[in-house]
Amino acid sequence: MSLRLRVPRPAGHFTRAPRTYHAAIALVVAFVAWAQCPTATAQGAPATAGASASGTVIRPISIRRAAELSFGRLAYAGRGQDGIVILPARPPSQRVAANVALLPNGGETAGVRHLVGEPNRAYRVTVPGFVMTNSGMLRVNQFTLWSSTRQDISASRLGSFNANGTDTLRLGGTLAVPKGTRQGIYDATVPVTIAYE
Amino acid sequence: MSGRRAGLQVPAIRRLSRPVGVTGLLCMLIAGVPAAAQTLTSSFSSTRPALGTVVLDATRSSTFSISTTGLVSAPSTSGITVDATNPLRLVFSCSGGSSGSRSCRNETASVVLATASAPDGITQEFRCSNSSAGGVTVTCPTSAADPYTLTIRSNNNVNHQSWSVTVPIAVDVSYASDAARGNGSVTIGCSNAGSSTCGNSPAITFKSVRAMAVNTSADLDFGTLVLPATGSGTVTIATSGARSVTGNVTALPASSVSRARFMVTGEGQQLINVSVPDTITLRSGGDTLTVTTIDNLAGGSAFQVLGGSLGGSASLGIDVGGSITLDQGTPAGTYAGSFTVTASYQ
Repeated sequence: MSLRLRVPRPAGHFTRAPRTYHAAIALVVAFVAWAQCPTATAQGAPATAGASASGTVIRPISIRRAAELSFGRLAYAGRGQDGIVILPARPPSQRVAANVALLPNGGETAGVRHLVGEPNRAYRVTVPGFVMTNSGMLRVNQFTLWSSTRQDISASRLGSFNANGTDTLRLGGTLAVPKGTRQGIYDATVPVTIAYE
Repeated sequence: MSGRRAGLQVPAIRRLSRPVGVTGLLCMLIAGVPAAAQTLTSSFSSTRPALGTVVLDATRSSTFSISTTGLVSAPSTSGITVDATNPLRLVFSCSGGSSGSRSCRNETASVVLATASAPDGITQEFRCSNSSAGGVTVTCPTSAADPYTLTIRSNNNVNHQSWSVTVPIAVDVSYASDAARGNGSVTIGCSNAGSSTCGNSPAITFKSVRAMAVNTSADLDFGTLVLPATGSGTVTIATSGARSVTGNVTALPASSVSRARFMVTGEGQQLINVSVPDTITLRSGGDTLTVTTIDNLAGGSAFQVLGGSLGGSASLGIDVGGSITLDQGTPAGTYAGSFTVTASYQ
């Protein structure tokens, strides 16, 4: 008695023709054998050494001018000596004066710049030695600086971005009011340069 | 490199006595001279299985093998270029046998392979396979040590006037870690005795060089770069180490800025291949930057020459700089990557 057992081909079974299948195996075997053959042209184990490559990329600084330095409305009120007006950078930036009458409704304010840059990174502030007011050509100098992050930076000129990469810089100054200066609103456009330290 | 063996030591072919019988003795007495007129000769069919360059391991011994087909295998720590079509073969033959009783039949002989000269720190061993064909049996010794004695025996069925057998010989050549570098050769001879002759002495010629090494003395560092507010810009570290910027990128002053520097050391006056990647990928989290490298390898990395002289150590400095292009959309971050420089003998 003979017994025949027919085994069904499972789904997804390799259906390539046997000859092709064997040929593929032979090719693989030949490749492996070739790959393992010692080569007659080997030049010894290559010598290698590694190095690191690195660089830090940071955001550019952007400056938005929120207010120009303005000493507000004022007039000379001395008796022969020149007057001065000091407007501090430190908030609330209230004016003090000598030989000058400080008048209301002039919109006096420190210069304000909103800065955006790399978080926690220091920056350096550069301002000119003096500027002239936009009207009346009065001299403004002795600038003071106030950073929301570092407070008074008038001496160091070094500010810093906070953890969010922002800071607010306030600019104060001293206005020279010569004898005879007429009443008016005196403000100045102060070029402020910010650069990473 | 001095010769280690000035001459061959062991008699090579010795005619073994065998019973000749009363008739034979009578013939010899009548003739007054031995009846043998055949010539036994051993020689090498390969005169110079020349090897190219053998790279020695710097810290331990190396061994490579020349197979009976001329194929050379070596450990991964050494490299060899070889004339693979020129295997070492010993040919042992008998010719000129007469029709008398002392012909090329029933001969037994020994051939000794021995190193005639070899540089200091280099030794050889031999290997062959026992064989029996055409009435000639070759018996190889169990020990591969140098000298190496083969026994060849012909039986009564061989052509009594002449026969020849070729015996492929494999050679294992071992280098001590402090073996001499430079050009050299191992000369192999065969020795014989009696009326037989021994033919040419092949030489395995080679050039051994010290292992190559590459060391890093500086990494590539672009320092701190400020992204452009608009447009793009490129920062370049020259192979001199100088950093330059074009476009709208700003490079902040930093003492850490540097080009990468490697030092390749190896055998003097050798052609070497040096591989420096064309690009390096720097990563900062999921962000990437691509550095396009520049190097100081004149004439292409595949054609470099170590200075100095053969037999001495030499070095080659490799400086690798690169450039990065940034645009306003490049994510800020601290980017880092790594790369390797590879060198090998040609």
